[in-house]
Amino acid sequence: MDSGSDMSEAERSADRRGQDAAALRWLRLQARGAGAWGAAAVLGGGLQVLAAIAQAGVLAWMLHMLIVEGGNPFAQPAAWWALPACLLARALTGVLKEEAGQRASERIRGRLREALLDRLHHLGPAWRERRQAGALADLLLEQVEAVEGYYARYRPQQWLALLAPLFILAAVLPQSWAAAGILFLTAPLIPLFMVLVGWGARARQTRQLLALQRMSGHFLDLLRGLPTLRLLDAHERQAQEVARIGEDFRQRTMSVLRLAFLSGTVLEFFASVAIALTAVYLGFSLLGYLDFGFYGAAPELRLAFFILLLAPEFYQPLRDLGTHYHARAEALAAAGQLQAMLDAPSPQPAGGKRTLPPGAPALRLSGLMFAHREGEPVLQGCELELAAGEAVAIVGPSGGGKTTLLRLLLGQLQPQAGELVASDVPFTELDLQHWRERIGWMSQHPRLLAGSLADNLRLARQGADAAAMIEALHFAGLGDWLATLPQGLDTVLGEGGRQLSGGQLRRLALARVRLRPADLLLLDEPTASLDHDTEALVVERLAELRRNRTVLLLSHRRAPLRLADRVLRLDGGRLQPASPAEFEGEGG
Amino acid sequence: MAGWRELRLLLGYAGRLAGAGPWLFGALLLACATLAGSLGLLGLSGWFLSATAIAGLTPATAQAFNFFLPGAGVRFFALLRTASRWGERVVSHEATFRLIAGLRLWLYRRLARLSPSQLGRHHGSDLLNALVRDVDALDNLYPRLLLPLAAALLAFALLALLFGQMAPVLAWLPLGLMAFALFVLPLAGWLAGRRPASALVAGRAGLRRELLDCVDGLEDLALHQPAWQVRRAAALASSQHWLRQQRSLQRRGAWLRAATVLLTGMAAWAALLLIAQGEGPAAPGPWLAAVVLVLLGTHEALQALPGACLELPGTAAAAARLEGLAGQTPRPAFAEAGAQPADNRLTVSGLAFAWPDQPPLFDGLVLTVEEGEHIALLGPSGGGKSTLVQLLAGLEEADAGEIRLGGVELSALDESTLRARLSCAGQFPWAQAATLADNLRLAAPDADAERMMAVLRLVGLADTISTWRDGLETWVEEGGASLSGGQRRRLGLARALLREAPITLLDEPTEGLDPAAEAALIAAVRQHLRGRTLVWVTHRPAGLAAFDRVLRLEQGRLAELSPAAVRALD
Repeated sequence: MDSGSDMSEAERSADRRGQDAAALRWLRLQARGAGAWGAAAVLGGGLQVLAAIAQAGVLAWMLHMLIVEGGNPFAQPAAWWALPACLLARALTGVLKEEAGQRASERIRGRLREALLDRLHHLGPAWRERRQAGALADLLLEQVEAVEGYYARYRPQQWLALLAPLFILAAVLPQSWAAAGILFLTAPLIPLFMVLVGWGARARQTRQLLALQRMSGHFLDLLRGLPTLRLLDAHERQAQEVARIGEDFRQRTMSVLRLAFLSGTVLEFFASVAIALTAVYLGFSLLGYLDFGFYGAAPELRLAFFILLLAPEFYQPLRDLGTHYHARAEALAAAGQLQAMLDAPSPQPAGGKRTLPPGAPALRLSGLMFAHREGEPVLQGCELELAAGEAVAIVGPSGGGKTTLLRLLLGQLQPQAGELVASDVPFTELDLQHWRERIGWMSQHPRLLAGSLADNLRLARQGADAAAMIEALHFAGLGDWLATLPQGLDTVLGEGGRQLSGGQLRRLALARVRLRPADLLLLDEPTASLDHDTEALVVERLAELRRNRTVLLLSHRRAPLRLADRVLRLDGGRLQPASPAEFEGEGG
Repeated sequence: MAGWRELRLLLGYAGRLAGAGPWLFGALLLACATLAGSLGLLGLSGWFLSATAIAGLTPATAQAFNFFLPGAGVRFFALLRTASRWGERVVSHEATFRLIAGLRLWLYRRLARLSPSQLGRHHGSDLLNALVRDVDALDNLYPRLLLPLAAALLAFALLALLFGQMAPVLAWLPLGLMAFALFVLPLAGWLAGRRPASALVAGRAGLRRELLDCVDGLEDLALHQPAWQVRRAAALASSQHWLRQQRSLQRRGAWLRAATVLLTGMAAWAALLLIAQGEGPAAPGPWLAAVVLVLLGTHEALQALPGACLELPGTAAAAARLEGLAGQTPRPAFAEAGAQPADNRLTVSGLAFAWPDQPPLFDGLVLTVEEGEHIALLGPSGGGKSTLVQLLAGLEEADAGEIRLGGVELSALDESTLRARLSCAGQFPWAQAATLADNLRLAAPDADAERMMAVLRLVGLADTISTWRDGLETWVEEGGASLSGGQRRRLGLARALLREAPITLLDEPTEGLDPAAEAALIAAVRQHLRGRTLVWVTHRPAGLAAFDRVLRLEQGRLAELSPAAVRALD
């Protein structure tokens, strides 16, 4: 919150510029994923400018014929088709530009999402655990979408803001060097305009969009808290807070916006002045007051019109760039977060290539050290030896590192010191993906996927057939429940479908473990917050599952401890034998 | 047409704009002035060039040509355009922010009266997330659609009048463009955007679900490569599908924009054709150049409309969703100024309740809690304990039967009276993104640090908090994410105790505590609430012997346990 308060304003803005530069480099790098579509969008925009030049020529000729020569341009067939053709070309190239930009942006977003998903898998559950699921899903959904406008519109427009003025200068210069000069003299201002436009939009972005997001976030937070607020009789007081924040937001944002809008206004002003100046120069030339700039020829209305019509086009791409600028700022804001995830170091060890022979593994942990943060060790010299097929329970205070120990065994965390060995193969040489496939895991908070019951079971074994799944459900005591489901295994569960009670969910997790062809069971509080009867069932079934398997069990509660051959206590980062007497009287 | 209702609702929301009336009107005036400046600059420049070209044909007319007035006019329009554009931006943003603040406040007040189940808590999906997006969509209605549309219409009407002065036939051109802006664009946008708009909402929801599954299920997916491959492929397919849907909507927008370019250009061409074919005055003068340039320039007035019109169906659907949520009749509804209960006796009779599409949780439940009594309510998870708490606290409405506080039915009380009498900590308390002290002050606005620390000590949080650098001023993240589940529960408990109400309902306050801490907490809370009513809800049978009565809720019935049975539980 207040990490920036020690920094001076200048330092902070320098810091921000540095971050922006890095984020921009990253965004440019991603643009390669667009293939030829990025170039096609610029091509479409370029052709659109050429069509505008042609249109100006045709219009100027027709007006000249009608006004000065008093003739009828429609006597010539060209008058019938030339202008409509130019307009059509302008319209179609516009569609090309938008479509190509969209395709470029679509490709990049698709690839980004793919890269993020792969990265998520690579980073693993230990990384994921320290983040909110909703926020991560938002990163993959919304933050990826935040770069949409940057690739679809801003990047092509950036090229066009350079190219289009050049095209127009090239068209005007052969007609009148003086008119071209007027445009050209304002041209060096273009980079300045870009900076101005950028500065204004930057302020607009940081204040308006971010403040709006913050206000939306606050509003959402309050709505989520409504039941709690009502119980505290605080909801009406919070309504005044909503009003106050809205008012505060308006005042602070507007004070910045009033200035920020000036940047667009400056651009507008120069464009207007250039048009006015061109018109005055051309008019005075036509009157004969000025006779320079047309290479000695007498100026004609046709020429004058051609130039006047192109003058606004000279500035139009820049003005468009200004309107798309917020897309750049939005992408910059998102890039930081996307990059952070893609570059995050994985806590998972790399492992090796060796695999274990089938059968229950023995485990040996020696001298394990682990700390999530420096100076706050969770494990300090943790020692543990498990014979093949042995079951060991670990108890200890919550936050004492029990779950960390399991994560180390799953190959999801890398110990800072010490060694893990599975049946004589050290983890550093073990093929960890293969190792994990042989672990049956019951988590403290089993998850329900939004999908069918079968989908939820196949999470444990993708190839499981219906018979195996039904058997597993019966095993877990869900047979009666299954019988009440008209759609059986195809019943949709989770969001938008049937919800499960805590007890049912736990039994579903048990069915998953049943399906697993596992040699090692890691059970993390398998009966937490269950009532007596369900707990008894879970423990009984786990007793059946533990045969011929090595088991490591974490529990607060007494009942599951009877599954274990030995009970150890994890305290102060070390494992010590715990006497069974310790658990007498502890509620279960 | 199925969309009529939505469109009507949207117009209803447009009616709510009236609150910011003067600002809206000011923005409209400035938008018109900007257009007038732009079109005037183009038209006058065109006229000026043509007039000078004709005058320049002979030296005499060239000498006589008065260029001061047009020159001043050009400068005036250039300045008008620049200044009014700035003004328009400032004023329209001011108006929009006022609308946003008003809309949110209105919505908050509406939603605050609804029960958690009416807010969609029990559908499992995150309705509220979508709701905030819907509010954002409505925020854009005025600045993106209504303002530019109204300004364009005014500009075209003015042009029709002006052009009519020169040649009546020319007036049809701006009128035609006006009809295009008023009827064709919104209708085309509505028709072209309707299907993609609803497909996009569904596509986004689908993708979000897939992504959430990948994130949420990672624990299991990390252990099974084939299952991960299936989920990953499903999520990416869902992403591609949604991206294609977006592009399809964008493409429709691109075609509408192309049509706008084509149409304004063709209007200019038609003006040339009409005059050349002798439909206007005999000799086309410099004014013709002005007409042609102005018609081309009207593109500026129209360019923002296709995109906004295409968003129209999405915005209308957002309005309908908001109405569907906020327009519900509150259940339960409280009296505005209710009766004052005589005492704090809580009586429940004939209570029946079932969640939608689920078997009844209880039917004909009876319970009396005397003032000052401490009772424990025991039962298996999923047995309806938490629902009973929500009913007693007046958050949800029973299907039948009644709950009386001091002889007065809950719905005959006003909500503040009920809250002052009955304090309740739910199972999943929420914490605001604010400091810990702010969170505690939600319960008691005038509590000082001493009182807050006392209650934190009571619930066993004081030691933890004293190790935090900022203590009570520690910032709590949105939704309480930076607190552990147990800490958040204890914060909820502390808030309930700070209310100092005659009746306190606590739902699973000891979940996650070890037995020793649990026993200590029971003793401390009972001591604190001595002489006041306490209902303690738990699924853990240990340590309940001290309560005056222990009731078990099972299979929809409440049964009182004998002291011997309670001791046997331990």
